[in-house]
Amino acid sequence: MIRQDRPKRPGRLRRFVLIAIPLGFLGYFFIYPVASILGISLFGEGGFSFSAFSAIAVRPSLRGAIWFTLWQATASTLATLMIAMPAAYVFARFAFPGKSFFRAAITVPFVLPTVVVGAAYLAMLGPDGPLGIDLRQTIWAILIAHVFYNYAVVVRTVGGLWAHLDPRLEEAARMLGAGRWRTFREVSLPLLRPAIAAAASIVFLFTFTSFGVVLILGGFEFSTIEVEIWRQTTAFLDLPVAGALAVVQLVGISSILVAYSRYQERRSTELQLRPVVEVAHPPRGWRETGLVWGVLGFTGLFLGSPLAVLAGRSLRVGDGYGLDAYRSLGKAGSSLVAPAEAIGNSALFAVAATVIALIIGTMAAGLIAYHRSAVSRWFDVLLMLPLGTSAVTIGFGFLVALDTPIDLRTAPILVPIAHALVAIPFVVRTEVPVMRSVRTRLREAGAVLGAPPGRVWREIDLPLIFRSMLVGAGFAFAISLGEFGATSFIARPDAPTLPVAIFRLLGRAGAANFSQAMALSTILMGLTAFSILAIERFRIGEMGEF
Amino acid sequence: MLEVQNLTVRFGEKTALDRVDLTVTDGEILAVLGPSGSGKTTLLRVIAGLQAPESGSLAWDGQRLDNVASHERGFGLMFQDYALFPHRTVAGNVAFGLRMAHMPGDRIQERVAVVLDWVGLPGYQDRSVGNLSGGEQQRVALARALAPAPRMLMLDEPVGSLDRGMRERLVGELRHLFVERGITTLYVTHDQEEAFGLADRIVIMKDGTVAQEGTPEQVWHKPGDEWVARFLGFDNIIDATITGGVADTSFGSVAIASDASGSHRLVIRPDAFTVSEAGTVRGTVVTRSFRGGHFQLRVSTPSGVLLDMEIDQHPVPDVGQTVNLAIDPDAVVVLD
Repeated sequence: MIRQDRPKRPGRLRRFVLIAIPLGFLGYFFIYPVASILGISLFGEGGFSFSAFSAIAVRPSLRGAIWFTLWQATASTLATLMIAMPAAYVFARFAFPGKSFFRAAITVPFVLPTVVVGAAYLAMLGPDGPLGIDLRQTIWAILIAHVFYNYAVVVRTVGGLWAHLDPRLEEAARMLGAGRWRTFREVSLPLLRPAIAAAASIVFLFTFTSFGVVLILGGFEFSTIEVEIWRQTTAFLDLPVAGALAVVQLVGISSILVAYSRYQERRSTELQLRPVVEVAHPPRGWRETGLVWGVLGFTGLFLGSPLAVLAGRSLRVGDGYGLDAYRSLGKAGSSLVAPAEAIGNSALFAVAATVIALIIGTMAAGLIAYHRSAVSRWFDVLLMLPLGTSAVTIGFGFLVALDTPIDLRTAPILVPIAHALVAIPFVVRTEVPVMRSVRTRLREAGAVLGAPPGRVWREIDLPLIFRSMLVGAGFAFAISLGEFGATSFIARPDAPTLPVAIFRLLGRAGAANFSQAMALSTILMGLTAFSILAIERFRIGEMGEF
Repeated sequence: MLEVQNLTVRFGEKTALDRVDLTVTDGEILAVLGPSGSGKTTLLRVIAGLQAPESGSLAWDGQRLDNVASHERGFGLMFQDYALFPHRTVAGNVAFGLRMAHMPGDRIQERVAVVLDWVGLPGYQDRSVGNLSGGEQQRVALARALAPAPRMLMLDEPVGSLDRGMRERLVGELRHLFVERGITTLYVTHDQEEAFGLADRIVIMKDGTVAQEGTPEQVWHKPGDEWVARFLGFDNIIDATITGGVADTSFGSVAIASDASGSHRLVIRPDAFTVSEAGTVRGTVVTRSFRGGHFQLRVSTPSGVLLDMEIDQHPVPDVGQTVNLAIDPDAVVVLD
């Protein structure tokens, strides 16, 4: 009576596609280029040789770059922690009007393109700036720009934990006779250590691989490893040394990431135990009121002034104001192409990069979220690598690797692919938690009601994760607009993106070129702010995962 | 007709289902009754195809289901937590299965209206499922499961999260609906009143095995063993020696309606007792509580045995009073 049906294995093919496409993409556009860099650093001059690596150890300029990278990253991290800590405290402990607006506003610098920040500080700290002192090509300009950039990282990461610390612990210390400073040092600071470590690692990582800011503000005086890779490639054409530098940097970044994730693993259980207590209250007394408004005033001035100076400078015509710089963008002038064309290029590339990052990122997120296995955990780590690898390394890798099997190096699609590579980790990080939150029951209900697996995804998962896809798209768009490190290697001279066009204009003498750079930077700042504001509309909760 | 044979499911070390056999005939309402952790939900999930069995077979009308995917089995399942799609309206939820079956749009609308009528939610089509009360969500989930006319409907503790009054009303409505529409039903619950009120036949599960099966009356009148008796709430379980229709216990002789003899355990159902001067069992009332239709008494016999009983006569003896009790032989079950 009982008949045996032919066994069916639904989901096999789907799973294969989910793994094969993102893996193929990462393999060809990330692993292969990075492997090629390693190859060129060891075999660049014909046979196998360590000469490129020994050059780093011997040549003072290269050793200097490594030393400078380390100490400026350390100094930037310490400076950011100290300067942003009061704001972290104020945002964690006090309620004041417009708080959520302030919190969103301080995040804007973090997502601004490096070229825009560089340009803004050129205007701010140049001889014509409002301060009247010329800090260009000094370490101070670089440090100030790095603090500007990472201010929000400390405020949101440290402040986020601080808001959840039970204030009664501090009150208990006060009752036992500890003064304010003593209480901070002996109670709050130790409890905040995990968040401080997290913020410090993120800031260190970002400043360790700083490229655009150092290139624009440091001149020939200062160069990080990142800048040195670019210089060795574009100015000296010494690919083996550039490759060796990239390998040294990769090793450095990986050790930071490994050390940090080890630290997080040890800490995570301890953190979950803390109660979430709503502790923010309006400032009481002149002392607290002064602190809150003083810190907010400083924050507004510190983060707002460079951007205001940038926009103001773009409108300056001689001694008056006007739109001349913007009008002149349409004419090629001394440039190869009219600067205005860069706007169209950037928009087009950003759309393409967003589409690629969404498709690959969503597939990868699906694999990580739905198939919990050793493969997907391994894949999770693999996907985060492009974020840890520097953008310059990606661009450099494209340059040395993608001439085989077909020469893609001058293909226009390469630019959005590089941007997508940088954006994919953000897309994955945004989508995975939402995908995981879709209850299995809903999928089962769909299956029992007759929906095959693909249909279940389309009818149940997709509508529920759609918002997170929009957020991921916004990130990808903003990242692509501002990406400079990789693009500086692979953008064709006749098709520059906005950051590349701005950098070129900044490198040319003359007030007209500088004004045009300011105008283009202002436009790029506006576009980025717009896509970030669009994200904020769809965002639920805090900006947690970088 | 559903035939389940020798079904075994293991989660690591734990055996969730151990060689379970089960049949559901067409048009029948079968209740699977058991405490939590007895494997009832696992059984439903295996039948629905959401969980793979380790061994055993499933067949519908003689055709093996083992390699048929969930969405091709044609069974309806109502989840314990309803699992309503939060991004769809009431109509969108109910229409889901119909769209999967490629029903044309206008017929879907008609069918949705009909099914919403059955469950007592006419005109609810455009409501958002997030704004419904628990009872309304339960009805939408039921409508969604019923809409595609599944060949068998399975319900997992469908009224578990509702309050008592609502639960009793819904159980009555459900039975009416299933009987009237001739819907083959597999109903999982831990609540015996629900199972008794709803089912044509009951399967009692214990630790992944079938402990007893039969009609509600059979199960109630003759619990198969001591575990089933206790699970059904019969706590008067005592040792006795039976000779010629009379059981000798520590609190005296009890007449029984069974031809068993020798040493046995007896279950005396709580409805067996009446207070009567002619009663042969004496005892003192220890507790007394009002339960609506009857009083619940606990009586202590001189030998120290505690007997629980439901008394619906007047006057009801007070705590501390000594009473004579008569026992109905038909309400005494002799365990094997």
